[in-house]
Amino acid sequence: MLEIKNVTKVYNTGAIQFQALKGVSLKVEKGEFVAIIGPSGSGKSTFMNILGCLDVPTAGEYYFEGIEVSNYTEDQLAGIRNKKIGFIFQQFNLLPKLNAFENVELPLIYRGMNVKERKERVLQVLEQVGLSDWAHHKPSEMSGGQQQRVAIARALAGDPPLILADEPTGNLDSKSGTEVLEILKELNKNGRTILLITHDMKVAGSAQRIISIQDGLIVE
Amino acid sequence: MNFKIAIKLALKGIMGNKMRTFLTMLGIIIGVSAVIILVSVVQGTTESVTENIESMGTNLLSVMIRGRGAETYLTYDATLSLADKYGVAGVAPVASGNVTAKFDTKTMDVTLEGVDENYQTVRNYTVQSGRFIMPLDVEYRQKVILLGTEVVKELFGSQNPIDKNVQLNGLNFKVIGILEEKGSTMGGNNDEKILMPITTAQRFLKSAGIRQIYVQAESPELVNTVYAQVEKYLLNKFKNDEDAYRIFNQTEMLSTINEVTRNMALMLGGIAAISLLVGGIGIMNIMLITVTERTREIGIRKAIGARRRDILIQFLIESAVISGLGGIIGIIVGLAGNKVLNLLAGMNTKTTISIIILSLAFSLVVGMFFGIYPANKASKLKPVDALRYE
Ligand SMILES: Nc1ncnc2c1ncn2[C@@H]1O[C@H](COP(=O)(O)OP(=O)(O)OP(=O)(O)O)[C@@H](O)[C@H]1O
Ligand SMILES: [Mg+2]
Repeated sequence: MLEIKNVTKVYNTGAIQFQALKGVSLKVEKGEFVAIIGPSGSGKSTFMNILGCLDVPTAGEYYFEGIEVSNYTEDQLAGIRNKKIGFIFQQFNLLPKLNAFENVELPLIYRGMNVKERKERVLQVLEQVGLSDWAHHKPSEMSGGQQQRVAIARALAGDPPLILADEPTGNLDSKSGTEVLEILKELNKNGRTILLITHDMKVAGSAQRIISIQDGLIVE
Repeated sequence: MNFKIAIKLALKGIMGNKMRTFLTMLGIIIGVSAVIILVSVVQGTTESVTENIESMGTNLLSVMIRGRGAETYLTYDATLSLADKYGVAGVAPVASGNVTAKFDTKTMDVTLEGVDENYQTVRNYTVQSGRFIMPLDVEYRQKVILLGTEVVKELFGSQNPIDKNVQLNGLNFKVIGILEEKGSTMGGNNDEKILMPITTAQRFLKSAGIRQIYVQAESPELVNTVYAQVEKYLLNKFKNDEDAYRIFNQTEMLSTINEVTRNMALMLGGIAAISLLVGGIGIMNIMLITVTERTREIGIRKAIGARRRDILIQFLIESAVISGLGGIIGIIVGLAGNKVLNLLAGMNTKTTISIIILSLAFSLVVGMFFGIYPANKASKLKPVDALRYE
């Protein structure tokens, strides 16, 4: 599914250069459920941003489904994000002015899907996360768990092979957190590759494989 | 991303902050309504001035004789010889003076013009009742007169003056007709006068001289030809003294007036357009703030697959919608302003479709133009940086 070789990431903050990733290599097969854990500031989110094509590595190679993408243009990366990757963030990252339906619809609009297909697909994924009745509510009218489920629906709308979740349960109570994890497991069972970033060992336990990052390096 | 959704999203974004949107639009609203009102007032004024001048008759030359030495006027027969020149449609000599008119107990000081039958067509007069002066009236020096509407109002009130006798400086004249109302032109009030046969007037005013002649050309193209011939004739008559007469060319005057007012419209429109530009800068300012405020939104959109051009178009449409809406409101305000000026100040305003379309298009262009920089800035944000933004 994806393979990175010796990736480094350097942040330039003024005069100081900070090396957030110091040569990371990883291979993830299709259908795997991988958890990435590590202390705060260890570089998990930096890593995930690169895997999610939100950012490009300073050095190293990145193969997505066998294709080298580290020197893709910004719009080409946008295409991969749109079609191949579903993102779930700790802060949900829904657009507050749009209702659940419209939020979920957004990636399909950017893909250029027609109205009828879009509507069908959005209703289908909203049902999948159990929010059919909430389609016309704004995020501010929903609980954290519900908002995160809208975000999951949005990630699923484009039917991507890869789901990237950066601390998806970090802002949720334990019950909602468990629900979200259940959905992720379900998705994995249906053949999607899942990458889950977390602080929480218990959450990481849901995964088949756990990778630990410290100080910008993978330690076992 | 399709256009309808983009506009829907833009409207949503704009309506989220109504007060700010309104204030941003205000510059455009003021600019567009100012353009519309100023240009309409100038065009309306031009139109009424033109109409006014044309009501004196079309393709007209007006000749005033001052004379030279002992020769201070032309004779009636001399003026008639002008009618034979090439391109002349008609010649209307006028012998004029001031008289006191009296009917019953009412008196009034009026202008008296002695004219012949040609005056009616040359000066574009119509008779609302009765008849105009005829060749026979001129030939036999008939003591008949036509009254302007003001004179009728003043002397007769609501009575019918036809066939009544009016005393002019104590002599009786029979009213044969009433002139159509003309309003005032630059030559003074056209309704406060009395017309009589020119020969009668010459005797009555005790002066045989003609000091004023109207010459009408057959077409606008012939006005200059006729002008040249009339001038040649007069130069010959007054021994090459150019000060002995003065010829007003109505066509030339019209084109001068048109030019002046066109320049005025351009200038006023230009000043108003500057306020549109200022409005545009206001839009740019707000759009820049909006882009900063919505950095996170931009990051989210990019994360789920928006390309640079999707973001660019979104923000461009937003500024175009702001300026377009501002333009539409401005047009409505402008038209309302015209109405108010019309009703309260009696100003003649004329709004053409082209000025409406032009100002709307201009405001859209302003919005797009000043939206480019902020929209481009938004589209260039890196998804990670935008997502990290709090
Ligand atoms: N854009 C940036 N510019 C400069 N430094 C950055 C930037 N992004 C991250 N860093 C630094 O890189 C390091 C790794 O950050 P990262 O966000 O990947 O950590 P993390 O493992 O996700 O932490 P957390 O568990 O708190 O989310 C941190 O020390 C952070 O300060
Ligand atoms: Mg993180």
